[in-house]
Amino acid sequence: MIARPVFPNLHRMDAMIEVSGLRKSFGPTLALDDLSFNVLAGQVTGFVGPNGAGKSTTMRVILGLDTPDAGHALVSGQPYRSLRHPMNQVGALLDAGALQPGRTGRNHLLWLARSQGLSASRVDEVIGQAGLEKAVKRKAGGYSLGMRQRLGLAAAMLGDPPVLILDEPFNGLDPEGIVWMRAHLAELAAQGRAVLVSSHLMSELQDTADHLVVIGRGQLIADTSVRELLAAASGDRVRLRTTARSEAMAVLASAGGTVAATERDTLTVQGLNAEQVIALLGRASVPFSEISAHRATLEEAYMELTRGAVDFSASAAPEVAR
Amino acid sequence: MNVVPEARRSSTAAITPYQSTQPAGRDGFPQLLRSEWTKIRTVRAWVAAMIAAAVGVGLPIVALSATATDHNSIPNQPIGPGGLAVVDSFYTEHHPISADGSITARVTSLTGRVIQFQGASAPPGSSQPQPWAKAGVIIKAGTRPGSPYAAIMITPDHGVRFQYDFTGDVAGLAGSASAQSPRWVRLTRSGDTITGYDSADGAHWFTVGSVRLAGLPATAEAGIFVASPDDFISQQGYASNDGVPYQTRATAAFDHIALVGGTATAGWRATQVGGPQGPAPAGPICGPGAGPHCGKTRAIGGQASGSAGSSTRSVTLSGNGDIAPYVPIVDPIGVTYKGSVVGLIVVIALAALFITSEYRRGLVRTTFIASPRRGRVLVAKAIVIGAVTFVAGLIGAAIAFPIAEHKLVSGGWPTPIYPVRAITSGVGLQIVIGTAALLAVAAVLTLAAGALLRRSTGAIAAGVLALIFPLVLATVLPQGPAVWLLRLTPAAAFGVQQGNVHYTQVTHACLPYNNCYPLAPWPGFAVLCAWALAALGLAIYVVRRRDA
Repeated sequence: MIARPVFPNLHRMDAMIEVSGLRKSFGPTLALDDLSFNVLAGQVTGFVGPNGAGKSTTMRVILGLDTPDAGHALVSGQPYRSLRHPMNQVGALLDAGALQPGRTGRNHLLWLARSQGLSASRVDEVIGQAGLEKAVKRKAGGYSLGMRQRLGLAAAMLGDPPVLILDEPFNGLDPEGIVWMRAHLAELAAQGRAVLVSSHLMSELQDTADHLVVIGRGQLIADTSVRELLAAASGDRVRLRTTARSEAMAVLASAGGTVAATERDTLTVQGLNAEQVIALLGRASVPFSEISAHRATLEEAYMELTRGAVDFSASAAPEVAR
Repeated sequence: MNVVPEARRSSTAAITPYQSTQPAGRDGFPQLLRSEWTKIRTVRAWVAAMIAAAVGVGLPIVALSATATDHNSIPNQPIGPGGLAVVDSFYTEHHPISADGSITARVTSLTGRVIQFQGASAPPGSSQPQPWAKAGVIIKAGTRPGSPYAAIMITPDHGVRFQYDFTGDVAGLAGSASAQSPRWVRLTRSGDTITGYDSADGAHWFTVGSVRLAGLPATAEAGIFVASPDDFISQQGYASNDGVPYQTRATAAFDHIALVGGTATAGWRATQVGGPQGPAPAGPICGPGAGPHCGKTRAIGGQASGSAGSSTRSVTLSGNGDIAPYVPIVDPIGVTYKGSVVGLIVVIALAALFITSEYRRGLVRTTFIASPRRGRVLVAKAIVIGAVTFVAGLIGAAIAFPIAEHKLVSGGWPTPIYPVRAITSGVGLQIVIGTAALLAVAAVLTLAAGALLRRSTGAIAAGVLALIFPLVLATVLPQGPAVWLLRLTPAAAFGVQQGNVHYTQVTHACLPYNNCYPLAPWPGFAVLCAWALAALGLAIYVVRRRDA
């Protein structure tokens, strides 16, 4: 056994990826705009933003593929391109479709392993972990996207690295695959690895990410733990179903609630809890058929967080074709 | 900007980063080579392309050799030492010489002109001596054409030369001979060893060269001689490819002729070697329509008396012909190997796809993530594609060689003018290894183009444009631009496929159409190597700086 190298020049003991002041433009498009964040060991960090926000570009910069115009990205305290046997230090999955169609999955893993002096038995180990024993004997050209994602994750795991960088790993997975991927990522983080997972859908990271880095148009919007984000966003909201919408709105608004008509016979109330709403409506004899206290989803928290900061739907930067 | 909330630090600071228990890998250059080799051998279409490259080299060569028949009748050429077809035709006045002796002469002039040509007008420079006309002293086993010899001679354009057994050629003093600046030449014989000397004044002598002649009899012939090779107007145009030969004649004035060690029994005799014996009739200078051995005028005669001693008599000899290896104009084995371009096209396509398929699918990012030192990746790729195509080309070219030689003999190509060569002979190795090396370096050049252009169509076009396009153009363009194409473009490397050995001291019509290249085989190959290295260097420079 060869001892792992120790990385003495970390700013934080557990900051496995440091992104600092990254700026990069492609022609007139500013892809990254003074972006800084850290990715810590032992947790899944969700890297969230709409398509074109700069997630893939950031990952390419971290992996030494693209050169930033300003700023730097360090992995285990070093620029990626100066890492020794990099696959032992970082596992990456950028584009699951990047496969030679005529080559079998196992041979794809084999050439990668050879480049690092890793053995063929290690290849078979990661194939087993990804549950790809049968598929890897076939040519990669016939793989479904889900199989490609599993193969890509297996490739990232070849060097048993402490850092994983995965770009949209949930893309194309079936529900079973999503469950598998979530469990797998959680387990990797539990082992003490730093896992950076990008997604353009916050819902994919629900119950998976411990921490979130949210970006839009190349800028950092939020860098927060999931718990903090949910706590901040899940104020007491109540969903109310009633046929007497206008009466209910009048009663609740006069009591200090913020009321919004969300559907034809549904109201969302903020500033009042369910008990207060029931008491107020009973006192005013306003009928209602259903009431529920609403727990904020990560998606909603995300929307709330980004509302106003960046208008994604209207002016999301086009995905940079690379 | 500190974007990490304070709360997060305290909540997660206790985590220790993951430490693998797996042995660390190595990412040295050998690992990279093995990785690239794994890449190429695991795509079935590419393995098929390697086999197709070997077949594409070998099969067309065999096919071409089987269809190449010789309809020309070439007169029997004398055979020199070692079975070499030679030209051995010159005019000499000679005297027997014993095992130890010497012959010395001073040459005070060497002139010449064109004496017979086809067409209405004389070739340019027809009143000048042929550049490789020669006059000097010779010691030869006998007057039989092809017999061993050593000679030291004055040439109009190439100074004094010491030549022996048709292929040997050593340069001596520079400059031709004239009354103001005569040249002295001397050969000494010591058993089988002949040494050549030259001098500008007859007092200070320089050793030019020495050779041991196998098969020199106890009594050989020593003499003064004159020869003047045929020359060519080589024509290559859009519709015609031709080398039109014409005869030249040289005249040289000798004096201070000194023979040491001459045997007493016989005297001086005049001989047209390679033609009718005896002194040629004095007569007018030959013109159009004259016979093949015209121009053997002895202007000043007189037999030297005695078996040894020196004479101040002045002798002027004229003659044509040459003492040199025979270099045929056509090159059947070399032309046959042009069939290997079929394999070359496969190699260009394979080399292009080996890198552009990675760009097309984004796989190149996976490669550069695994091996961030991109220059080394390109070098490893170049070595692997070079080695693979070299082996494929070698198999095809080596299997085809003996078959092609055999087919050419059955096709009527006479030996030894077109000698049947072993694959292990100098020319055999040059053609076979040269063809394989050409494919390998062409693959590296195409790979570099693929790295620069990132598109398979562009890379394949670049490979074809660099190698095959100039080769085809060179056979149809007029000679001037054709020769420059074969000097400057990577197609210069096709010179390794020349089956005829070209000697600097032999005048011959060198037409690209006839598979004759302006550069020698390996210097021509070096031109391709220079292109490939430059392209690879540029590719490394660009790929290291470019976003992947």
